[in-house]
Amino acid sequence: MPDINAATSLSATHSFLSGGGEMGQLIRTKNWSATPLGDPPSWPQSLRTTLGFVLSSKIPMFLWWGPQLICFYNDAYRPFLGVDGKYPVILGMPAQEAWEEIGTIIKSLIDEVLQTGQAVWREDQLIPIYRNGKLEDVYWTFSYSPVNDERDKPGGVLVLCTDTTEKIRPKGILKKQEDNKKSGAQIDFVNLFNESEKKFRNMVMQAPVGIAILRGPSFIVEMANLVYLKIVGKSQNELIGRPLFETSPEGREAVEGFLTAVLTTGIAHTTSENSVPMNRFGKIQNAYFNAIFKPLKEADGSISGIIVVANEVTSLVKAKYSLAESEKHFKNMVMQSPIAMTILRGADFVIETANIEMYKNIWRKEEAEVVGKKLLDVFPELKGQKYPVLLNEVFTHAKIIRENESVAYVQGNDGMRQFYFDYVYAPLFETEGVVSGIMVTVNDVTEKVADKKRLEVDEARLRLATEGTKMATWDLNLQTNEIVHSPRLAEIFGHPAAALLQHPQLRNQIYPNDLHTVVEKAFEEATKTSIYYYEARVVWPDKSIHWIRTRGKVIYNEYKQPQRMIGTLLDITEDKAHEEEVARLAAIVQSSADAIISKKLDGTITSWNEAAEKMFGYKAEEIIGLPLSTIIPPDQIEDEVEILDKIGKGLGLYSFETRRVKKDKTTVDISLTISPIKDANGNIIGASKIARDITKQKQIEIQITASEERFRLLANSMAQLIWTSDANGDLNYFNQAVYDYSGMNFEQLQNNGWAQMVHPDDLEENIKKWQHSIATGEDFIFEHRFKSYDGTYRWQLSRALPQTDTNGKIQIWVGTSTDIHEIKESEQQKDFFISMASHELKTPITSIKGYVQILMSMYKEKGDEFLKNSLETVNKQIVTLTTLIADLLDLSKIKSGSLQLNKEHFCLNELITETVKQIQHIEPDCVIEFIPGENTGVYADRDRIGQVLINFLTNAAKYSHNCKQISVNTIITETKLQVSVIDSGIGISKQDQQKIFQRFYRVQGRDEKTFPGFGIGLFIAAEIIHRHDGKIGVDSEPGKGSVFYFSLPLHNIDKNQ
Amino acid sequence: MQNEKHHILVIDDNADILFMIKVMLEMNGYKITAKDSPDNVEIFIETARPNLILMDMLLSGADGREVCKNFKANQQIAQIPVIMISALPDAAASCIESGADYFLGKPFEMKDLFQTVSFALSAINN
Repeated sequence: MPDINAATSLSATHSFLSGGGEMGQLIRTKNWSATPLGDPPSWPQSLRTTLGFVLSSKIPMFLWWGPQLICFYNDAYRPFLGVDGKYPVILGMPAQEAWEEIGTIIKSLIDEVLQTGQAVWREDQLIPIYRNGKLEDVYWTFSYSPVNDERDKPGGVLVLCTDTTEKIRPKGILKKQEDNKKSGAQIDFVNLFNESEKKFRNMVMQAPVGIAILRGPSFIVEMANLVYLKIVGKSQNELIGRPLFETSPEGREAVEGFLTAVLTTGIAHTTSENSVPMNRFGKIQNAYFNAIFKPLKEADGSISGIIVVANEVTSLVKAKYSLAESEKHFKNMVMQSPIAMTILRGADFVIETANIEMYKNIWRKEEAEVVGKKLLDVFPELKGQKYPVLLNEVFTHAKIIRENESVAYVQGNDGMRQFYFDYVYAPLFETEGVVSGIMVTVNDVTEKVADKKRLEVDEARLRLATEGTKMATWDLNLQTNEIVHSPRLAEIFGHPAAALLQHPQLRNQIYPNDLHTVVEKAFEEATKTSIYYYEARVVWPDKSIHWIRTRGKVIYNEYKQPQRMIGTLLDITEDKAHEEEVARLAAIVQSSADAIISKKLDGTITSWNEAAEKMFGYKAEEIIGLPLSTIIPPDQIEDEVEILDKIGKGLGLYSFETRRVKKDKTTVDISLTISPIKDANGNIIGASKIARDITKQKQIEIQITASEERFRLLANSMAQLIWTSDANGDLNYFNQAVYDYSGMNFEQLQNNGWAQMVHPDDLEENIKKWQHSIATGEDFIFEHRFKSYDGTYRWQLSRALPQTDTNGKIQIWVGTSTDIHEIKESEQQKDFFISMASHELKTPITSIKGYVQILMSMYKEKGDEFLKNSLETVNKQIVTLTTLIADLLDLSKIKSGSLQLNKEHFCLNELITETVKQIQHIEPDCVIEFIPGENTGVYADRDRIGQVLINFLTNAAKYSHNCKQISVNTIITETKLQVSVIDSGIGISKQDQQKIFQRFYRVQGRDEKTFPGFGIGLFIAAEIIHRHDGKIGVDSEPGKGSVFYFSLPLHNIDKNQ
Repeated sequence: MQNEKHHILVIDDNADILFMIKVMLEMNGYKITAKDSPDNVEIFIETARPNLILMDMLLSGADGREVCKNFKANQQIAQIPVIMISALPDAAASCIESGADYFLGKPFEMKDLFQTVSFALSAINN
């Protein structure tokens, strides 16, 4: 029921709204903040007073207030509004809106009142009003009176009225209203007014504010209502008819001055929280009033008295004063407190004030540096700590937060300091439940905590020292060297507990190195200081080595002569091992190339290795104890909060890339791996961070990206088609030229689009070759036609080379396709030309050859040697010419790929015999010897193999100009059949041997001119043999001769032949 | 020689070669009819009935293979063997396909011509 509460609190503080019947209730519950008047507490005193009147009056009254003429009316007036009309909506509404239907009538009246300051009077005036669901004709008798506000100007118009419709109607004067107005109606109104005068007095008497009328220069109290009497603590009899200051002399000083002024000047006087001494119930007290003193004007304008309307606000004022007082107190308390305090205002935690203690010992800054500034601006280091979050919580949830011995880092003018604080964050409320600030109380307990920590350490030592069972005791007589020891000592030295050991024996068991350097030194020291202490190794009877620690004290006799030494002895082998282990781990950490840092959960750095020193520029001793936020860039602080949160939950973080600030303020890119550190009980007590400097890596990444970008740009600006595939042969990149040429996009090309590009006639071979390359890693070289975006095909030479990683594994194939269409076309033309030309040449040669042979046969018997030799020479040259033409044709066939093999079964030995005979015929000077091997049938192109043999044999004859001894042999092995032609000619150098089967290659040298020819014969021979999947080769030594051979794989051998 | 009476029809559009072949074969004792075109040759063959036909593959205005196909389609003369001569060595297969019985590539050795001719004639006799 918030409305009721609000109303209660309103009426409590604003007595003018108490009571007032139904309308009073309505006014209290109405939400005034939406109206031009605002909330009641802000209403001017004049309005409050008038409304107090109106509401408590039984006379129908209506009030228009302020420039907007806001409507108020009382319970008595309410019936005039009928039902289904203006009630209750016009309450608080501007007049123009509320009285729209009669606005012109009343507006002129109101204006008159407001302008002249004079009351207006009307009788039985017809003013229609919308009520009871219709516009009704109503007759009114009314007065419109000005109500002055604080400026003493009319601030509103008060209407006293009565509905005279019923009165007029029965008298039958409705129709002649104008005529009768002055006679009967006036008389009635005087009666009515007397009645209302009485009602008005009554109302004044009962008004909830003090009202009194003072007459004349001596301020004789003519009238005082009940509240007024109560205020002054007098009875009616004591007051009425007597001068004011006679009854209340104590107030004279406070009020006489302005009372006289009102009387003489006629200007009203308003007081607010005016203090007036009052003698009430025999006691003089200061009372406080909000009051209006208005001149009472006679009809002639003379001032005869003063109307006092007073509202006592003493309790309110007192409360206010006490509040101010307590605030002053509070501030004093803050400022003088030996405990550091500060007040932070607003959600930004602006430092409003702080005390000396705070400035001097905690913040270590001057007042001017901090006051009026945001806490986190002045102390940015707090951002990495928990405090801003806690402050926020206090501010938003009005919680009080306190914590003891909390660690904090504060950057004062003398540097960063670590504190332990007991602190309290307490919300400061502006109004109920709304926090406007936070009072921070900080007690520096750093010393206390340090003491406590020391104490804890001492405690731990003590505990350790009294771990009795593990400790042995001994008592050495320094005179006799006799030793008495506990059974535990025997055990520590590796003997049964019951063993009794003597001092020399014990000494003997000390590790030899330690005896001199440690034990004897310690003993010597003990004679001076009386304190005996060492850690040394002992050798057990089983030869194992153990560490012991002994502490002892020398006991002296009365002559200060050492008598005895007593002490304890402890086996510290495990501790030593542990120490070594720790040292080893520490060494690893120290020598690590990665920065290794550990921190507590609050962010305090607890360890810092050498790599961290190098990486961040801080020395370990500089940074240990400082918060980790020292090296965190401000924009990454939030990350750190997240990290701390994760660590707190026991989670780690792996290879998290972030940035840190070095001591020189430059940043370093790091890869961070963080894991929580747990204590022996599994509680998370901190985190270890391993940071790797990835600045270079980042730079390289950037460089790689840039370089890749460059290469892409380069690739895209090339006219050649460039593409790559993965190791499986799946295409994964194309340069712009590919897209431009094909008119396809990446997805289309990858999705077998490239296969659609390849001419159908080339596709099968293309796929075969590509798969071969992928499988073997051999370079891919292929000539094929690609369909361009306009549907035309162009010849391309495609090459792809595999790129391997360091292990030789293929990573990627990089391919290019070069447009060779023009070259290809001109080659085809050339091949076609060669083919045609060779054909055309054959016809005349046939003719020449035929006639020469005719001539030869005709003149064979004539005995003309010259003619015979001439014809033979012509015939021989024609054979050479024929061979050349055949070679040319073969060459063009090889080039165009149309060299066809017509394989058949035949006997190789027969072919060799035939060929040898044929060459022998042409080269009669040669001695050609054929040594046949096993008689073998083969499946091959007989003519082509014959061609190879002819080539070998003619070469052998040609290049053996002096010694024409040639032999041919065949050898069959398990895998192949080899035919060799051996000559003893000029031979071929090693470097020439490698090139001799290449196209148009001919051995160069002195004798070059001796051996004319195209040099294409061996190329063709090689091509033929390769087509048979065979091998061709030469072994030769210059000056000694050559062996040309070819071999055919065994599957070419026809076993059935 | 032993087949003096054998009558051979030679068709070649190149007059020099036609004459050359005629001389060569006549040197060997054959009776030769030389024609420089295949026009009306079928009627001649039907009436003259030569023992062997030797023809060039490419004749001006006609493809010797088409001509040969016609010979082989003609029942009266189909049994007369045909030797096709061409400068295109790869043409051998297509010539055999068109019905020619033998193929001789240009240029040829005279003895190869004699061998082929005598082989073809002896085949008939056998």
